[in-house]
Amino acid sequence: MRLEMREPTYLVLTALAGGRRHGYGVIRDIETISDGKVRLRTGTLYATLDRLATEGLVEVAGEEVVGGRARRYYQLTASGTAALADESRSRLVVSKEAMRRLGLAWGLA
Amino acid sequence: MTGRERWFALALRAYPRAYRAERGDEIMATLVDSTETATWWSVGVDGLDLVVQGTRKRMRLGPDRYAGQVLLLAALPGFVVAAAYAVVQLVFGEVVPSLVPHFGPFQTVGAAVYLTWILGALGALVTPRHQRPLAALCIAVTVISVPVGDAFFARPTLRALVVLVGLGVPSVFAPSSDLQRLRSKAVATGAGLVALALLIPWAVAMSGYARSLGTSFYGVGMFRLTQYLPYAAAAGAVIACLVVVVRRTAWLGAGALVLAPWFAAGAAFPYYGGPRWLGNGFDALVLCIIAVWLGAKWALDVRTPQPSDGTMESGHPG
Repeated sequence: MRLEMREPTYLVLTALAGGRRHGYGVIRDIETISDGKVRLRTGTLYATLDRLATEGLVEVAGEEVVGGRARRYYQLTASGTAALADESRSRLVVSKEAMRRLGLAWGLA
Repeated sequence: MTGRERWFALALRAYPRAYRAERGDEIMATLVDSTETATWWSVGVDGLDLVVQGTRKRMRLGPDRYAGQVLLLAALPGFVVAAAYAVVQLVFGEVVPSLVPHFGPFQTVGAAVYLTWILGALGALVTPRHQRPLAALCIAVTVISVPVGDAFFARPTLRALVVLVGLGVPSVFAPSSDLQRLRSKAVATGAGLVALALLIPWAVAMSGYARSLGTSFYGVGMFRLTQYLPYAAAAGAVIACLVVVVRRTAWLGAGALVLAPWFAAGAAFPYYGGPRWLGNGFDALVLCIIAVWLGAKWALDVRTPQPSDGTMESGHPG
């Protein structure tokens, strides 16, 4: 039975696939990736990160103090990378089929 | 400290102390950075989001904890059972040609409430990510119907409304699950069909009985609700125990949570509640057993620390 990945989780994992990020970096990246459509609230972000850490998909990747404030960085684990790759492949298959049926070429609106 | 930071510091107090000590500075830094150019509305919503997430963390309602799992498993089935109940109420309680209608062609404002639940549950089945706001909307409409019905029209009995609200509450408080459980949809559909199979014969019998007395379905059917459903619920619970009790205790807890509103309604409105040989306390007794059992399971779980309670181990930079 294939399990569905929620959109915020997919976006968080995609943001971290670009390299280690701190919390604000993830939020900013998600806004860019979603073309401004998704703005993840901070409380929801950290609940998601805690959940993904429990599931073994992300891990802490260092800490720094910048401007007197603590910043903790996160990165994907090997399991997280594999989960993101699986989900992306599934979504790509569906997207390609939708584009084919609509008669659209990739890259066109 | 700016006003914005004071607001966030206050909202952060919803989190458990240990979690605040470990992650508070980090979360505050992210909040300040991400709301630098935000409107006052956005800052307010960010704070409320912190309160919700912090309360969930404090109450151990995450999807990896027992209470969170029970809520998650009960949410969609409860919502669909509420819709099945709403269908029966709408057909047998609101459309009575022999009685004078008080809300358009319907008996009470309950017609609007029931339609909301039916459409809400359908929406939750089709797009699960909207389940929480849809359930919240249904509960809000149900609550508002009480003063509106009292002031301008007629309303259903509180017993019926209590059952609906109780079935919708898990959908509001269930944690988000990154990995949607497709099985929950199948269980929800099955639960809705079972509910219809139990409720429709009862409603047919009660509406006939009501007609023989010259009164409405609400006048008779609601008061008889808990005389018969507990038998079916008890039988279902025994079967569930035999099949899944050893391993699937979260499913058992979810089933108890879906049944609880019926017993709560019977306990709160005990006019004809319970079989006579047990007296009127049957519903209250079952409700107490469910509450004590779920409460004990939750309390034991709260006392058991889990990795997700706070501190994440630092790894090496990638």
